[in-house]
This record gives sequence, structure tokens and C-alpha cells, in this order.
Amino acid sequence: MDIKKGIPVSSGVAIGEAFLLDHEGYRIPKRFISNHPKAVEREKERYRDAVEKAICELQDIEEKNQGNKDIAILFMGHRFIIEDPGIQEEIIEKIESFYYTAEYAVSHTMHKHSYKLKSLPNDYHSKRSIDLEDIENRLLKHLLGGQRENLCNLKNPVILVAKDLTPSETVILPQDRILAFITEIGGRTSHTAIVARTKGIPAVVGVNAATSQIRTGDIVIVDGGKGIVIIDPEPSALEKYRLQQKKEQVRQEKLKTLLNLPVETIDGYTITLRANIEEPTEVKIAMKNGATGIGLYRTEFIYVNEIDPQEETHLSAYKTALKDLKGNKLIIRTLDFGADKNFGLEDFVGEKNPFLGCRSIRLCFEKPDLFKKQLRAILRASSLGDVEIMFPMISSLEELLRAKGILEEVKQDLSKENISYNKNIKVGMMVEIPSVAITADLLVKEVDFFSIGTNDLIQYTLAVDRINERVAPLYKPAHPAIFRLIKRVVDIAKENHVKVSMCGEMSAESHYLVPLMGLGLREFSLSSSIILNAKEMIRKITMRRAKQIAQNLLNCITHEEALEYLDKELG
Amino acid sequence: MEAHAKTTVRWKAGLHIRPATYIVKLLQKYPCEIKIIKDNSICNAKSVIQIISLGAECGANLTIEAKGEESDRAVEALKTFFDEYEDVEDMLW
Repeated sequence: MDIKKGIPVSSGVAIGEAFLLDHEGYRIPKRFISNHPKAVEREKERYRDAVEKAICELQDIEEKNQGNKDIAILFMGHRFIIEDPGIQEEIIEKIESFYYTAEYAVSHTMHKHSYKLKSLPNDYHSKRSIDLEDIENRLLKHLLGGQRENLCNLKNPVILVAKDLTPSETVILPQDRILAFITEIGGRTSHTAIVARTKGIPAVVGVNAATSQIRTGDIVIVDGGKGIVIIDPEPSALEKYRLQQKKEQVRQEKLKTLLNLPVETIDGYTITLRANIEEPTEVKIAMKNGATGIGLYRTEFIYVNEIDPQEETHLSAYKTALKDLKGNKLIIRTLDFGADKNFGLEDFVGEKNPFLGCRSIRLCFEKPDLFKKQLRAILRASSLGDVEIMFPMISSLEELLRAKGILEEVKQDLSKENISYNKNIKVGMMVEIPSVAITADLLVKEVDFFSIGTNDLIQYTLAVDRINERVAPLYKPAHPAIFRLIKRVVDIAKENHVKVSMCGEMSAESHYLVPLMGLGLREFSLSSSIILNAKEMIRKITMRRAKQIAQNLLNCITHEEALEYLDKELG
Repeated sequence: MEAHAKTTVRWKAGLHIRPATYIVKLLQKYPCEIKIIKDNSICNAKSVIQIISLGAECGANLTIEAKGEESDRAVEALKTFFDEYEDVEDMLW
């Protein structure tokens, strides 16, 4: 038995067999095909097919970037490597002689070359191994895209162990067969964590050496609430956790009884709880968990399969969401690509500091055509339901005005084309950069609502990379600076009669929810899986007490003191 | 027909994927076989992966060797590239 500690990111207990997603650094498990000549031929054909698709895609990128030859040439380089007869021979050889699956053959070959580059003494060359990883991912995307058979062929539910999961990977996982996630990298607000919480799958991230110490087939216990991973547990531990699992089931049943009760405090203050979603199909899950609308639709997933999705692709996603919402509000956040969710988009190659780089609204300004397609689709959707639009990563009044200006242009285009849309669509912005929290009084007059995004607000205020496990302990939501910033934004919004809500993960933790209510927040957008938990908390407290707690919290001078106080008050 | 020449890597970031891609693109139109040699490593100058795997840093001395049709012109073109190409990474550094 071996007990490891990580960062608890999604509660719940899971007991089951481990499945290693990237043993030895491979994203793809070592799998074999049968040695039948037909199977070999079919596998080679799958590989050739993926090569062809990857080449088309790269040529497309080259063409689109003709204006920027430094970018275009890089992707031509990727294409040359995929077309390289030597590389192709190596991969085919692995399929023909070792009966590797095409995925594993690609992965194995690219890793070999990547390793060679990494071992070069020149720092610059070794960093360029990222190009080979990108090429590998591109080929794998096309190989997995069609059938995704590796993971989908899982017969039994498993506990997934990986170095890290990219957004595109979490999308292809057969979620009904994932009992829990364990990853080596990441923090509370990393992508894996968010997905896990949305789906209610237990997860522990930041588990040191997980992929080298856990083998596929090992029996593992995951305690997502405490951040504990037990490998090869003793019978006494198994028994203890089975009991805890049962208790948790009972609790979930009890929470379900809250479904039809109003979300209000003992003294009658109503709170609105909406859900955060990443895919339109999650609206159903959200409504089942008692959400009254979607407070944050992260639209990045529309870009998973296409780098530049068309207006109709957007529109059909929004229509799907609206259909299941039955008249409830849908707040659509415009493209927020960047840093931890870039889906291998070409624009991020080579950014040394992507969290401070050309992400999100900045990228949209750089690519107005891409941005306008989404705005058109959102406006068109606004004639079909209660749709609001939200701009992410605004860092100044100028940016807000610029985004609104582009929206205005798109509105006029639609009017000219006689396409209907809601002319009074509400426009809001995320408050997630300290500069706009500080100057909220300047921006408040230009919006219909603020939505405080705590994940980035904390990261930028405290200068802590939220996916870097080495600094994860410095990511402190209860830091006095954070509460002061939030209070300022809420106060300014109220003075100006502008709505303010919170969509960050901070409100997902029940002991933060109460003081946030006390600061004046009445609308929250949360992961679906914890809406009922929040409801239970809200129904147990008075607003009077929440205000007291908020006041006392503002007087705490350190994160630790604040945590201690909250623990004492709320347990 | 055979031809050869000597040249030096002038770019701060070394002979990485961007110049390597230009080289492969440039050499596509020449039918000859052409190699780049650094110390004891030899690579096919028409393969990006092989070129970048040389790990040629700024200041590295290279030998170019070509065999076959239009060897002299290919070597000449490649040498000119090494002399004249301005690397974008240099501007970033």
C-alpha cells in the first residue's frame, strides 16, 4: 500500500483499476494490432489517411498565414516533417514488424526524435522539441478523431492516470467509464479540474510521479475531497472507503430532495444559481441539478474540431443549448482561447508567456473575421431565447469600447441583411484582470453586467500560474487583496445599478460562498455538480450572518488567518 | 557531378526548424543528393528533421556536399542562403 497526496479538485470517492494514459510520457498506451496481413494493411491505411488529413490542414494554415511568412514557414516545416520519407518509413516499419497500432507507432517515433532534440546541448534546439509534440498531437488527433477506439474500447470503468489532460483529450474521454482522474500537473482551476467538477467525477491533481508509480491494472482509491490517492490498498483501507462511498451516496440522495425548493437564505434573500458549461449538451445536466440558466458558456469547445468554425457551427451549438434551457438565461462568453486551452492553435506556438500573451479578446481583435462569425451567431441566437453576451479578458475601457464597436458593426450588418436579432441584447464583461477591478467605476457605465472570474483574477493579482504545481500553494483565494478587489467591484456595480455575478471556481467552495454573499453577490455561476451543495449551504444561513462573516473576513490580514476564521465559522 | 562548400551558422538560435524548412524548400527543385555535415554528423539536407537533429548552434562550421545533377547550383544556392537569410528569432532575442 502506498499513500500519495495531491491537490483535491473534485470531491467524491472512487475505487477501481487504474488506466495509465501516458506511460513513459506517451499519450497513447502501448497497444498492438493482430498480425493478420489485413489488419496490418488497415492500420497502415489509417496512418496514411491521418497523414493526408494533417497535410491538408497544414497547407490550409500556411495559406491563411501567407501574410505572415514567419508563421507560415513554421507550419511548412511541420508539414515537411510529416511528409519526410524517413519518418514515414519508421512509422510504417513499427506497424508492419512490431504490430503497433498507428497511434502508438506515431507516438513512439515522434518521441524518439523529440528525445534526440531534447538531449542536444543547445537550449534553443531542445525547446523546439515542442514542434515534434505538436506534430504528434496533430497526427494523433486525426487518428483518434475518427474512431477514438483506444479509450472507447475500455470494457470496465477505470481510474484515469495521466501527466496532464488537454482540453481536447478530456472531450474524447468516454465519461461514463471514468471513475476518477489522477494527474501529475495542474491545480484547482486547471482544465481537468473544471471538467471533473462539471461531471461530478472525483479528481486529484498535482500527484507527484503518479504516472511512474501507478501501473495500468493497479487497484487505486481516490479521495477527491481530501486529495488522497492510495495505490494497492490494504483491506482495512478498502473497507473504510467503501463505507465512505456509501455515505456519499446517501448524501447525494438527500441533496436531491432540495431540487424543487427555492434558493433562499433563512431570512428570505433569494440567490440565483446558474451553471458553467463547456458544451451545449451539458445544459441538460445543469438543469437536472437545479440550475436556473447558464451563467457562463465557455465556447472554446466549438473550436476543438475546427480552428475557424463557421457561423452556422456556432449557431447550431447555441440553438442546442437554448432548446434545453426552456426560456432560462444563457450567457455566452466569446472566445477565450489561451494558455491552458489552446487546442494546438497555431497562434500560440512560441509564446513564452501565454497567460500574458495574445489570448482571448486580444486574439479576437487580431482576427476580426473569426470574432465576427461568433458575434453574428450569438446575435442570431438572441432572437431565439434569453441570450446575453460577455467579453472575456478586458483589461481597459478602450478594449471594452473596441469590442462593443465590433459588436455594433455586426449588428448593422445583420440589420442590412434583414436578419433578426435582439437589438437590446445585454452586454457584459468578465472582471478577471486587476486593472479593470481597480477601475470598475470607469467601465461600469458601458456594460449591463459584470461577471467576476476569480480563476484569472486570483492568478493575475497574486502572480501565480494556476497550472504550475510548484506554485499551486500560492494560489490563495482568501488573500486579502482578492476580497478587497471583489468588494470594490460589487460595491461599484450596486451603486450604478448594474448586475454583478461571479462565475469563478471560488464560489464553488462552500466556505467562500457565504462571505461572497455577505459582500453583496446574489448571482453565482457554478459547476453543475455542486449547485445542490451550494443550495444546501445557502438555505442553512441568514444573510445577516453572511454579512458579519464577510466583514470579519475583510479584517483578516493574511490568507491563513482568513482560512482559519472560515473553518471556525463554517466548519 | 559533385560539388562542395564550407559555411557557418550565423543565427543566434542556431540551425533550427525555420531555416531548416527554408533550406528544404529551396533544395526541392534540385535533383541532386545533398548533405550537410557537422563534425561527425551527416544529414540529408532535404529532410527538416535530420537538419534540426544536427543541433548546429550559432557559430557551427558546416560542410555542404552534393552529388548528381545540378550539384553546383544547389550548393551555390544553399551557401547563399546561409550567408543571407535573416532569422526572425534573432529579431526576437
